[in-house]
Amino acid sequence: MTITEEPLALGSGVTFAQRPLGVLTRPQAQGGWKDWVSTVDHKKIGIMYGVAAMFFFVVGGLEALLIRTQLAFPDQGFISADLYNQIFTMHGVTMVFLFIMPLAAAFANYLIPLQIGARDVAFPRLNALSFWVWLSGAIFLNTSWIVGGGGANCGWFCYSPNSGIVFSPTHGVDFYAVGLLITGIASLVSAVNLIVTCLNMRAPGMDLMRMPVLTWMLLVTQFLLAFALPVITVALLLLLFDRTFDSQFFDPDAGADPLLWQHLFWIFGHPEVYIIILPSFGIISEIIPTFSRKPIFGYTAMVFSGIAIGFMGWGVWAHHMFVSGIGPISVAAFSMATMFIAVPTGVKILNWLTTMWGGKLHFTTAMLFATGTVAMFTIGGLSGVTHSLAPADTQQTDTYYIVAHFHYVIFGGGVLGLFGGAYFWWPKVFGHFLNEKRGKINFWLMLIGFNLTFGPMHVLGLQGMSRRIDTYSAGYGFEFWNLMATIGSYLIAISVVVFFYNVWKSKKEAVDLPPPGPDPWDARSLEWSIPSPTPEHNFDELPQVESFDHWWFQKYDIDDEGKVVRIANTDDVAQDGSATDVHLPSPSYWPLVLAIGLPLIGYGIIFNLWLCVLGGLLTGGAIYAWVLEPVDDPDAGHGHDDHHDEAAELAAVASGAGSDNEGEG
Amino acid sequence: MSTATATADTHHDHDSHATNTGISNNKLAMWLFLSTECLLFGALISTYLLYKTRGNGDVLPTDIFDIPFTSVSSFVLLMSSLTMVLALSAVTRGEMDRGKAWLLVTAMLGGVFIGGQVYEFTSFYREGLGYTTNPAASAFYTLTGFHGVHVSLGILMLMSLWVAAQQGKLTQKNTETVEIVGLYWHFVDIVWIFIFTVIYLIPPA
Amino acid sequence: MSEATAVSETHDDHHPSDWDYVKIAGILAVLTTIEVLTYFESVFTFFETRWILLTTLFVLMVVKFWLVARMFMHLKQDKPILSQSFAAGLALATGVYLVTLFAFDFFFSA
Repeated sequence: MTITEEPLALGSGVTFAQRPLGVLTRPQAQGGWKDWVSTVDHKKIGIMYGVAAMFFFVVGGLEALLIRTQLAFPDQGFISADLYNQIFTMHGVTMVFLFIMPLAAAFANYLIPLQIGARDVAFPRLNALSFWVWLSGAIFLNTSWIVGGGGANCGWFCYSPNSGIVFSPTHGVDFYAVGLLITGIASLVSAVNLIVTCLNMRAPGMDLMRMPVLTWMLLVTQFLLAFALPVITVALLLLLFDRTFDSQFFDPDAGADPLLWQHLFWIFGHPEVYIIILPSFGIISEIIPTFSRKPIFGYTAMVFSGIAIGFMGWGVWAHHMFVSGIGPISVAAFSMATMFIAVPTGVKILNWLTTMWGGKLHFTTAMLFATGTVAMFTIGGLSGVTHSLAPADTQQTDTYYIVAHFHYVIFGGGVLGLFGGAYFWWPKVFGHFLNEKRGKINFWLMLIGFNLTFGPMHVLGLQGMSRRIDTYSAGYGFEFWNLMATIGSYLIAISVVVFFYNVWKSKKEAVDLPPPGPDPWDARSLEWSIPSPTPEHNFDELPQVESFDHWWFQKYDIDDEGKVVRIANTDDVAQDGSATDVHLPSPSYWPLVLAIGLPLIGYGIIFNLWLCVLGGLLTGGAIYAWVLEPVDDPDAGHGHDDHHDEAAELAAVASGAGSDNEGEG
Repeated sequence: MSTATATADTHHDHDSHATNTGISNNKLAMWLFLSTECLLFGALISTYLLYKTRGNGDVLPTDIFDIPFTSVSSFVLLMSSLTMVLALSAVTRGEMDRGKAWLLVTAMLGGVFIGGQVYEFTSFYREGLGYTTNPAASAFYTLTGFHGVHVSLGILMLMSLWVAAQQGKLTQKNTETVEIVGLYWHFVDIVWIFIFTVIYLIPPA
Repeated sequence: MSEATAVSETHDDHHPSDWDYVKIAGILAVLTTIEVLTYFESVFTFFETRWILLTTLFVLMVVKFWLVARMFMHLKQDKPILSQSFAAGLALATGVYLVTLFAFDFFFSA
């Protein structure tokens, strides 16, 4: 029973094994592809999330263009009705689960540790696991085009009994169910990880009420994810069991109630709306104060309205179901709750406006995107309030008015803000600016294209044009606005091309330009106190936080007359990134291996259960190796600066992934 | 929750082990995970409650419940919580032999519960309640099956701890690992406390 | 046998003894026995009154749940944030699913 005391004694007490399964020696290399596939660095993981999300943005965008091309003129047969169903379903699923959520995760991963003054997230390897599992699920979902007989064709909400085997006989819905289960595991793991990071890893003095608004909004988002994902997990499993094992959850003939699906889906689905929008709210809450040269107005109100939105988001789900016959009491209650949720949202909008009020406004590209977000989200919010009136909603349901509304919220409120964030933090992440001139072209094209696409849909909806219909007849007055919307959608596509061109060209031009320095925007939060691009160890020494906007108060003070005076040069108070002996968590291949196992299990459920065995072995083996491999590589050893307990980390994986997993298998 | 945690403890010298909340990352993560599990089991329990009378003319789970039998297996699971906490208590004191014994007893009690569930499912199937018989049956098997999977994973974790302890890799230093596995185990138990009352004991109106 | 170690320093105050745990388990056993007795309505005829039965069962369930979470899971000794986060999940689940069942006329069938 005698064991040697290791200096890096691990909670699990498991001895170190460099090659737990005899393969895949622990990576040591710096740089190259091995570095990327084995990294546990939250910054690299954030960048990978961003790149992958933008890839799926293009995929979902091409699907949108196909939809709009089909609808440009009446009575077109450009794509068949069946293919149209698959395309609009996959457009929705891709944009929500494979673009906005991971892009928000990119910001969360990159920025939360920096904004709270931490060296990494609480569980670096689980963080890598989240990314790879999400990516494997995303790829899995899209392989249904090739091997599943087409994409899912039931709408992103996949109402039953339409999603059942009778009405959706291809494997599309199976891929939908399993794919979203896999990405759900990723989001759940990531949510727990980031909540623990926010609660436990803050720098000295960084009280919760000193955290930047972005971090706060991301924290609320992670709580929403953590609590909403189990609900959709159950719904998807019931659907999968119905389709695969002939269970009777949604078959009305057998006495089941298809409304159960709607409830479960929207109990998840409405918090999901706030999961999409709150990160963007947080991003613009960083951009607007910076370029108004004023602190954010009503920080406390900002934080608490975010929390209030998070809470109230749980009490409004049935407003998606007003016409499904849920009864007058339910309709009245959810109608009221929906009106109330406009209050905290209104608080936020007023706070952004009052932050800008009287400020010295600098309309950089990031600021343009931020103000665009406020304006567009307000329109979407107001049309949302019109849905809360159940009688009006009865007319609007399933028309293009709804499509207009949620695109104003999700694209206008969500995507514009995320683009603003990209322009804002680009110098911090990559060490060079995105060109402002091209950025402004990008913004105006996107804003005009967006309004031209979705603005007319309000009119079309009120005229009575149905959603999800693959074409329309001439003579109903739909022609003009449909054509406008299609033109608008191509403008959006051009603006995205401009963005990618800007990314490519700005990098080429950067060699001739001066580097941005640590704090190019003269900003307020901690990530701007360290060099750009961020050094691998983040902070040379952890900051001692004394107030909200701590970094800004390093540079400025307020004199007796209430005037702002500069007290230090940015370069004098910023860290120079020169620390060399910081011990960082070691990279690992096992998150990737584990992630490869899950889609194999998925294919197994759909095609051949033997594949499940293979996938299960891969997943199980990876978990086993994960436990035996220490968090900290003793060969790369430095000091005693890390604190990640193996077995519990694993226990969380095993039970988290396992519970979802086993249900599938 | 926000104000409570704002009182971060500040006496961490150079030791980065100290966290803002004073709770280790692992333990906090496990508790967060367990609170999300409430939503998971809640959905499954609600599904069953909604469907429990929907037999489509066939036999219902409530028709064939064997309450005395399930009471015994429920009691076994409840007592496994006692042995789990005794295992943790022993490991905390460094009495590894005793701790190992209690871990093994806990895993065995869990095994007895799972055995009971297998027996229950088999006998229900013989009485005509298949997984696809009706919505009530599907919901019942999915709910209790999910719980069974959770118990099985717990047994796996307990056995891993036991093996690690047997090899001398699990020592008093690792008290918290045992505690975290214990948290999971107790949670599975309290879910069953709920299921036992709401699903089994409350008779149809 | 109380070697204070680094691991236990966060919660070494007032930990229940093994005997305390056994006593709690005893209480749990008694409560479970009462629960099971409700099944034998023919012997304990007052359980035929539905509200007495339901009240009894629910009170016993909540007490058992509370005892295990509080004592065996050490919520009593641990930091409040753990109780709070668990209570948040529990309350949220209870809330949304009760409303769902209500919307299905589960409690007041027409």
